[in-house]
Amino acid sequence: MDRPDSLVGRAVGGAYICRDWELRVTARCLDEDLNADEATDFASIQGLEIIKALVKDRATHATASKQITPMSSGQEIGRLAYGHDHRGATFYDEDDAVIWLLAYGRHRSGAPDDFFPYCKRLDAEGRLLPVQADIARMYRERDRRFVEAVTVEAPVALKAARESEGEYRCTIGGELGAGLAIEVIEVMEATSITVAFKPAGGGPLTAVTMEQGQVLLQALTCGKWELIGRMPSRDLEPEEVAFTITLVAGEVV
Amino acid sequence: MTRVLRVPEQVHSQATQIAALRNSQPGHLVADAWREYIENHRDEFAADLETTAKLLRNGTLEQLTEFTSRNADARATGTVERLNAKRAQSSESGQAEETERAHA
Repeated sequence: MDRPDSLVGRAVGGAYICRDWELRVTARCLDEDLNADEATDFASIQGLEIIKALVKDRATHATASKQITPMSSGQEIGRLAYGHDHRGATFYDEDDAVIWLLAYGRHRSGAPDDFFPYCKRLDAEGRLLPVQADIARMYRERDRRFVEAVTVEAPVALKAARESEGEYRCTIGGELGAGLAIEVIEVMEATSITVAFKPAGGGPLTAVTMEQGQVLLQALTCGKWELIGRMPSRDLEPEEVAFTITLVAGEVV
Repeated sequence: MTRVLRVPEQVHSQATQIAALRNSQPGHLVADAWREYIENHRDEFAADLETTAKLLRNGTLEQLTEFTSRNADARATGTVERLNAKRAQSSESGQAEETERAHA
């Protein structure tokens, strides 16, 4: 995933957007450790020292230099430190390109509320890792960012494709790799638009790709797009699907 | 360009056998199967496209986002299962170790 420059380094919804991943805080951590509302936006908590440390340490390096071990979840949990005793636990989910702040506390060796035993207790209870609601919120926010981006980027891509010779390739919303080919038959005043799309970061086609592709197609031209098996000048790559639509005198046929 | 796709072992074995019968590769077979799936679900996809078009024309950004996110909960459930798979594995191996210790 290659996020748009306009978003990198910004807090958007519950996320802080980095170049190759985003930073988020689990609802449990917000509520129980940071005393914030579960649905708090990232911008509202950016003043907290541990959040400053999260941005400083994890915006450019996904992997923590020290781990908290052993963990019953079997996952690699990174240690985040700020000052003498502020401590956090982070988890890098590479598949979903996100680093979660899972827990925050103070490190006081031997004290009953020492951060590290607390963190391990949460893990043993199955309350440390992000839960379904955390992840669903992340997906919804990503979908919203994608939809917002498509409505701006699709007309720009279409214009560029009209001006380019052959297929025009671009990335839409930082997530969808697209190839656009425009063919004009002047005598019939007909234009056919053919679009192939696939996940921008590679990997197999997923339901998400198809949902994003639907938005892209309709943002390019509203109408009945037909599924096709190849692009005008080439075969499809294994991860691609392609659609076409024909307009005569500006109307879909 | 190709990518690794994890499939259940049984599916992999069958795909390898059928690909061999067709003088093809398992990866090509899976790619063909995927395209066939898309072809067979053309109507569903067309209906979704129509809804997306209506929302783009007459709906709000919220409505379009909501429709685009219609599978977000199911996707999140799948992710939680993936994240907790290691816990299940480590507890299974922990149980195996305990069993071994008990026998010893």
